[in-house]
Amino acid sequence: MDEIWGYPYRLGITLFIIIGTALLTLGFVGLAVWLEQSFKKEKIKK
Amino acid sequence: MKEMIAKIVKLITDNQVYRSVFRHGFPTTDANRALVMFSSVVLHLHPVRVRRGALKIRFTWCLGGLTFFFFILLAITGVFLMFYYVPDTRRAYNDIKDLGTVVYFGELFRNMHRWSAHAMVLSVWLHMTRVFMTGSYKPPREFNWVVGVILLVLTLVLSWTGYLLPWDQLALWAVTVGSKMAEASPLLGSAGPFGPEIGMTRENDVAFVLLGGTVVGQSALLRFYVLHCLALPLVSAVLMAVHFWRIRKDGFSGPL
Amino acid sequence: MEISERIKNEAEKTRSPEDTVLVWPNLVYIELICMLFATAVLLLLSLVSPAPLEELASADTTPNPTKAPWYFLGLQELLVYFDPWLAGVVLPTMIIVGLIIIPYVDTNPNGKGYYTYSERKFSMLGFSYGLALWYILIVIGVWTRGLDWSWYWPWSDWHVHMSVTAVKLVDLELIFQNMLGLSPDPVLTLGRYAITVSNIMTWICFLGYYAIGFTLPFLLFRNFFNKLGIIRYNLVMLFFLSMNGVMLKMLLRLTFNIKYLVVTPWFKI
Repeated sequence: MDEIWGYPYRLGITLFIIIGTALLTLGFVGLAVWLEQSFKKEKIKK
Repeated sequence: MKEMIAKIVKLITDNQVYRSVFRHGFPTTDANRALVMFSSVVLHLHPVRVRRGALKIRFTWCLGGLTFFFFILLAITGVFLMFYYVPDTRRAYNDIKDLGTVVYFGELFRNMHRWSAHAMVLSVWLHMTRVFMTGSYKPPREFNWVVGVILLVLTLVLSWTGYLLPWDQLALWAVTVGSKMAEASPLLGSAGPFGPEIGMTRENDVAFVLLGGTVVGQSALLRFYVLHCLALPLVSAVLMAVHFWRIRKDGFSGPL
Repeated sequence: MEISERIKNEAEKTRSPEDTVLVWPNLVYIELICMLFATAVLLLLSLVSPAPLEELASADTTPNPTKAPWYFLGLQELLVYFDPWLAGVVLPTMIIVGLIIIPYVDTNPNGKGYYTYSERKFSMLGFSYGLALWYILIVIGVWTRGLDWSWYWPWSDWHVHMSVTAVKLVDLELIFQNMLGLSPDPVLTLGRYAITVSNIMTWICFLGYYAIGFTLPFLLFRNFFNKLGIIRYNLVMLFFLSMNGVMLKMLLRLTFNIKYLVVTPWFKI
């Protein structure tokens, strides 16, 4: 299993992991922000 | 037309048999709507009134309720599957094949069971995420969160024990991967740090307890079957009762 | 305040009788529609996509690759970077214990009962990051792992074994030894454990990561420490540092070919 860490793959894999994690984190935080805004807007409308 | 319907309804509901079962009329009046929450065992989980904010789907997304619903679906489809399945390594696989071919609706029930299982795992993760994002675990609701995490773990273990039952290659090796990890436990496993030092061998470590043997074989199948169909659902049901009880007692945490 | 007092106050503060509606029909109908919708979706899925059934179980042939169910693929992917006792036992236990203690270490009174990011940035970011790590490992396990657990991009041929381009993995200990020209002879021997200077250096790095991680926020973000108190602070930092440590070790392995950070005869981290 150790043999598969050839160079062309490693950079891609590293970027995949870092960018993927960052995107997912931002996605969850963005979800919370969107819901926060939507509830606040409703409160103001009331 | 309306009078005819009203007459039929009165015919059905205004007699001794109906009243002995339901004890009050259909909840069309406010009084009956309050009473039904007390007198119906299925509905007694609910309060009589709820804050308007609790109805917002955007708040809870019905995720907790959906998880419970999937659990019920799994129980019902699971019972059906239990009629046709014997946890014997010599016939388990063929039983599953029978379900897909000769048993009426067998394929439907097996597919429903499998999709409900995936759906339940997904919805329990999403439910946990939602509860975290709305801070509904903060005091005084801490213990309910703990019960919820235990239910999460039980859901995953239920799913994993069910995975072995078809006794196909996927099942056997997925469980082998898991048992190899158990074997590698520190102190408790024969292949883990400090395990051999305190006398753990493959014949007496935690993987042996899990599998009832040193390989994934008949004992493992029977153990997983009992865990999956009986022990874990019972424990889950008890913990769900605690979980729902606490929700009623602590009240809805959401907006007004 | 006594617990029952606290609960009563909470309930009083938030109850407003004129804003309530009857559960029947309002809530019950929503639940019914939800259940019908869910059943419909499941029925549709069941009719369209059948449950898989591979060949009969056989201890003689191992399928390649052997994959755990998708919700455990995160842990199986961790096996690439950590030994089984870490990836399969210690880390899952830490995840579960970490989840359980969340309500007890969260002292922020904001955000109870409504969505907010602006009022609870640390908890939201931390939790989202943890979730993201978990999900990205599952994504990797499901969609990029093929034969021999090699990495297959979606456009690669999944039926061909990846060519063995051997990359030598090395322990951090050896890196220190070669870089600094240290002697491979042990300075201390405890039974089977032959401790070299480079081994001690790896321990210093590993424990130093936690030491620095514990003290830095204490020095720089003092009011964070004060809000939590010493017990909660230590618990939060322990799990937070470990979570980041997992990511760090994965990156160290990918970029510097480091296989183990700390090596002893009994366990390797």
